[in-house]
Amino acid sequence: MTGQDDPLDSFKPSGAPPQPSEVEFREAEAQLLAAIDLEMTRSKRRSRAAGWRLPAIAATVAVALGLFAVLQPDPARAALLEVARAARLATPIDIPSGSYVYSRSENVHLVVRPGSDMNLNSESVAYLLPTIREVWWSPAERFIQIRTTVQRPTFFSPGTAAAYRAAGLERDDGVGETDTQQLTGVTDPLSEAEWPTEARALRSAMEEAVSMSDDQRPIRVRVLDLAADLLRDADRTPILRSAILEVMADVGYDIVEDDGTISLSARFRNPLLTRLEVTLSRTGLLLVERTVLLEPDTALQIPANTVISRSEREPPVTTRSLSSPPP
Amino acid sequence: MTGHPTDSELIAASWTDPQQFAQIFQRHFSAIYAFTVRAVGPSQGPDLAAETFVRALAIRRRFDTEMYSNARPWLLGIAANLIAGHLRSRAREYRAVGRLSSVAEPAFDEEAVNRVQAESIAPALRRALGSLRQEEVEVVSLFALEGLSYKEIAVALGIAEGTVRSRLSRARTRLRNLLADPGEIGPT
Repeated sequence: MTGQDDPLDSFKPSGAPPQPSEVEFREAEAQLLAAIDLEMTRSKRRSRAAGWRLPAIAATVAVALGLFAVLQPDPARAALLEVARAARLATPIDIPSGSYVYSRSENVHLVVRPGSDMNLNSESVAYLLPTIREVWWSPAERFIQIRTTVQRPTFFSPGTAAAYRAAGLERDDGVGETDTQQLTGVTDPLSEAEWPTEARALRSAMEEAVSMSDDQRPIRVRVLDLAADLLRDADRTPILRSAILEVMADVGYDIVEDDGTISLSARFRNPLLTRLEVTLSRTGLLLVERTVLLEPDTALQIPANTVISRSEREPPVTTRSLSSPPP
Repeated sequence: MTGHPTDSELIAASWTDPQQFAQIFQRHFSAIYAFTVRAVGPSQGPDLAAETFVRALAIRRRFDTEMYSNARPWLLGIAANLIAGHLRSRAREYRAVGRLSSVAEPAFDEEAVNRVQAESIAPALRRALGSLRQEEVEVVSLFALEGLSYKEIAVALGIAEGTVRSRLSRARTRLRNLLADPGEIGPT
C-alpha cells in the first residue's frame, strides 16, 4: 500500500453479501423468541405482583381471536423456567465438616492419535475411550480425590482395533486400570469467581468469561458449556443455579422435554457440524453432557451422528468415606 | 397501525407486545447477518447477528420512533458495537499469547468456506480493525464494510456527523500505520 491509498478501501467487500442458511436463520430467530418469551414471563410475574389481572372479557376475546397461543411463552422454555424455579426452592447441599461431596460419572471421550502410534499410514486415528470417574470433593478443606477407571475402547473400524491391540496401546491408555489421585490446596476457579445471581447480569458475566478463551466455537455454545460447568458442582447456591437456568432459557437453545428430564442443545461448526447437548433433571441437576458429530469425519472414519463425548452423572451425595463406593 | 407498519410503528407496538419485535427480525436479519459475517467471519458472525436482535429487543425503548421510521441503521449500530467488542477481545487474545503472526484462523468445512470465505474480510485486516479503539471500529465497519454515509453512521451510533468524520480520520491514520507495520497490531 502506498501512502496515498485510503486504508479503508481494503475493507470494502467484494462479491455478493453472505446469506444466512435456513438453520442459522432459525437458530437466531429462536434466540430472539426466547428473549421475547422471557420478557413476557417476567412482565406477567411483575403484573401479578402488582395485583393486576387481565379482565376476563379481554381473555375471552383473545381466545376468540386465536391470540392465546401467541401470547403464551414457548412451552419448552416455560418448562425450563419452571426448572429454574424448582432449583431456586431446592435445599442447598449440606457438607458437614470432615465430609466430601461424592459424584460418579460414566464418560466417553474421543481420542485422536497419530497413525504412526499404531503403525498405520493414516495421519491420525480416532477411537472412543470410556472411563468411570469418581470424585470426592471437600470445598472447605480444598481437598479432592479423583478415581478413574479406564474401560475398553471402541473403534470405528476393525482394522484400527487390531492395529491398536497389536501396538500394545491398551497398556498405554491404562485400559482396565484404576488410578486414584489425591490433591490438596485445590481451588475451583469457577467457585472463586463471584457470579451475579440476577439472570441478565449473570449472562453478561458468563459471556465475558467465555470470550476470554481461545475457544473458536460460537459464544452461545461456550455459554452452554460454562453453564454445564457451573451446574456440575453440587455446592452452587440454589439462587445461582436458578439464575444459570434462566440464562439458558434466555439464550435460546433447542429444548426437548422428556420424561423427568429436560435437554438443551446447540449446533455449531468445529469444523464439522456438531451438537452440544446438556440434560438436566426437573430440579436443575446436571445429568448428561453429550457432543454429537452430525457430519461424517472421513479422515478419522467417524460416521455421522456419532456421540464423540458423553458424561452421564449420578446425583451427588455427601460421605465421610474415601472408599469406593461410599457406604 | 396500517397494513404494512413501519419499523418504528412495530417497535413502538413492541413496548407493550414484545412479539411485534419478531417482525423486525424478519425484515432485517439477512442484512445484519451479511454485515457481521463480513466483519468477523463465518464462525462468529452468525452469533453476533443473532445477539444484535436480542440486544436490540432489550434496548428498544432507546430507538427514537418519532424521528426515524427505518430501524436498520440503528440495528447496524448495535451490530457495529458488538463487532468492535468482539474484534478487540480477539486482538487482546492474539497479543496476550504473543503469536500474532502464527494465529490460525478457524477451519471450516468446504461448503461453508465456499459460501462465505470470499465474502469476509481477510484475517489480517480483521486483526488490524480489532486494534483500533472501540469507537473507531464502529465507524470504520459501518463506513467501509456497510457503505453507510456519514449521516447514516451518525444516526446508527447516535453521534454527531462531525464526530463520525473525526473518528474516521483518526482511524485512517492508525490503520495506515498498522497495515504498514503489523507488529503494532493489538488493542489500545
